[in-house]
Amino acid sequence: MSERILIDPVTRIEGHAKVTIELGDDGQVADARLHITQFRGFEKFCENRPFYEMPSLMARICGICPVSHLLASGKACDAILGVNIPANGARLRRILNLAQILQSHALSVFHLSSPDLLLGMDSPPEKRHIFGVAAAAPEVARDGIRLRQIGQQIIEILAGKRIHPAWVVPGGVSAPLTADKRDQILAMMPDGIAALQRTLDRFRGLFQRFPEEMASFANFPSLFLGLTDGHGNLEFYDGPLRIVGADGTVIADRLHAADYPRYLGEVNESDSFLKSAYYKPLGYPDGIYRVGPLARLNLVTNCGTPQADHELGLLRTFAGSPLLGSFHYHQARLIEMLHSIERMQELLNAPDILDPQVRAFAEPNCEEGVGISEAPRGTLLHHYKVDKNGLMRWANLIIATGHNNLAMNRGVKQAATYFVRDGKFSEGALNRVEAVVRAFDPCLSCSTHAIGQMPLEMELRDASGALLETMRRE
Amino acid sequence: MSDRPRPLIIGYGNPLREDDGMGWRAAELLEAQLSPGAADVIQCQQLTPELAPRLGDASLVVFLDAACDQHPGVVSSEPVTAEGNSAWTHHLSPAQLLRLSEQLGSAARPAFLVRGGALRMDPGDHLTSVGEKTAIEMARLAQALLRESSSG
Repeated sequence: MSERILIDPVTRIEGHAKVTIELGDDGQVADARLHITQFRGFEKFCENRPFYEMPSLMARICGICPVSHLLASGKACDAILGVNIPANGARLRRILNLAQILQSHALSVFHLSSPDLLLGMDSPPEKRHIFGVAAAAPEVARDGIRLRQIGQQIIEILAGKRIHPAWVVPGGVSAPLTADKRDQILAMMPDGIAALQRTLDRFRGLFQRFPEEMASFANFPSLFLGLTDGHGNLEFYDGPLRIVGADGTVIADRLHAADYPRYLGEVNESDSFLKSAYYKPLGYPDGIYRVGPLARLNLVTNCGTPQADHELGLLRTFAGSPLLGSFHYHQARLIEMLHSIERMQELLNAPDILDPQVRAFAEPNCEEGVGISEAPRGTLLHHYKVDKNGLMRWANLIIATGHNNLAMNRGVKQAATYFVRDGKFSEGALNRVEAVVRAFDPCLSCSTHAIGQMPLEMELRDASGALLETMRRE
Repeated sequence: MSDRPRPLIIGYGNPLREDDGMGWRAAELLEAQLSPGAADVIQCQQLTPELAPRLGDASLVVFLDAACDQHPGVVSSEPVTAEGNSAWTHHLSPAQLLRLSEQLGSAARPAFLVRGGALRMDPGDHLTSVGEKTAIEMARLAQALLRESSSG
């Protein structure tokens, strides 16, 4: 008899989700789906508010990555003002974004995924958390906590507070950097680099212990999307978009954010509040693509900083290029963290970093603006339309987790097919299905712009839809 | 400034939810009463793992929090012992945070949780008048704990 497995809620992710696995009459996995079960609707309730409130308002979408929304929203507002922001304003925004990448990736790698990696996918679920890691490998937990702390402290030093800072404003940032603050930030960098080198040295070998997960965690050909700097290096703040194929061929290049409706589509699925984005020329669902750390590394020749480049070379030697398996998201995050610190050092040592000209002032000059940046989880897009008085008339947000939705669903099915066989499954097998979702580090608060709990549910159902078993974790 | 370990005061809660901000307010009042550098004071929304190393550097830890399970205006204090764990990384209890700090290599240290009963926790960035009076009492009680600790 066919069955359905429900994982509800999915744990150690940012938001509330469940996974349904349907078994066919032969006991094999017939289908598997990730459902996002929370809703909030920021796009609607921002209507009729003044556009200049958007950075602060949209930052409330998420407590983990408010900085990412601040930046994309700030850039959409820059476009409405019709200004080019001062070079040092852009430089300071870049540093803020890199600090955000650092702290958010630290959360994903150390707090959420390292329990699986260090303790094992089959380890007792009551030990698979940061406390379990602290007990088994306190030095890893210390480094993870320190790295997140560094990212958060940089955000606080630059922007006044670590959550929901109001420093990014339409036209730039509200205050320049002082020498004292620059030196405070620079003083933390060696600590961060040392912690990352220790982690990379340890994790490089650790990743090799997961051949089945590497083979089955959303490991398939797809397109990859992200910003580029035009010189083949990583770019997180600005620049045109690039799309590459599974063999590394550039499919589309120098795409402008404002033209996104020409090449990106979104569909609503009946069983999820998360929209699925796709590459329009290939249609839905063939236009499946991935964003985020894995995609960004697939788009570039180099990271653009020496230590991160060295690590990228090692990863490519080990896993090939382009990286198709989503298990490599973890290592890609560590490499991006290293790059973020190296890049922040470069930017903070720039001769003009204390330049007081950091903001352009103007009245609204355009009735529409699109802002785009790379959030930790991938490309983030804010699109606003305003009336002549600058009041919001319409908004559309495309969030990294929405870009990755088709890939996450395909990945969940791939892992379920691999680990759930003949209708038989263990807790460890279901944890692996969750771990596929975790590898993408989805932020469901962001992607549905919704509030919610963090848990995961998994359901097992038969072909008639009857619920046979539910697993639920808080 | 001396390198000697100092007490750490952590006032936590949501200051945009009326009396849920009592921990923040009590921490602010206490800091104003102490001589400069006498203690480290942190105000935060929730207790997160990133605070664990700070606990390791302190001589004494005092947590200040609003309580919705005790009568409005009632202030209580209890010692905190390191225990428990959590898969939840955005919010830990004082006992869990203390345990994490010890797991990361810090020696055990005295810690207290001072709680004040909240009247209301609706949206709003001001305390109720009951909340304000309770925060004053929480600061007094915390100061007494600091005095006891330094004399002991």
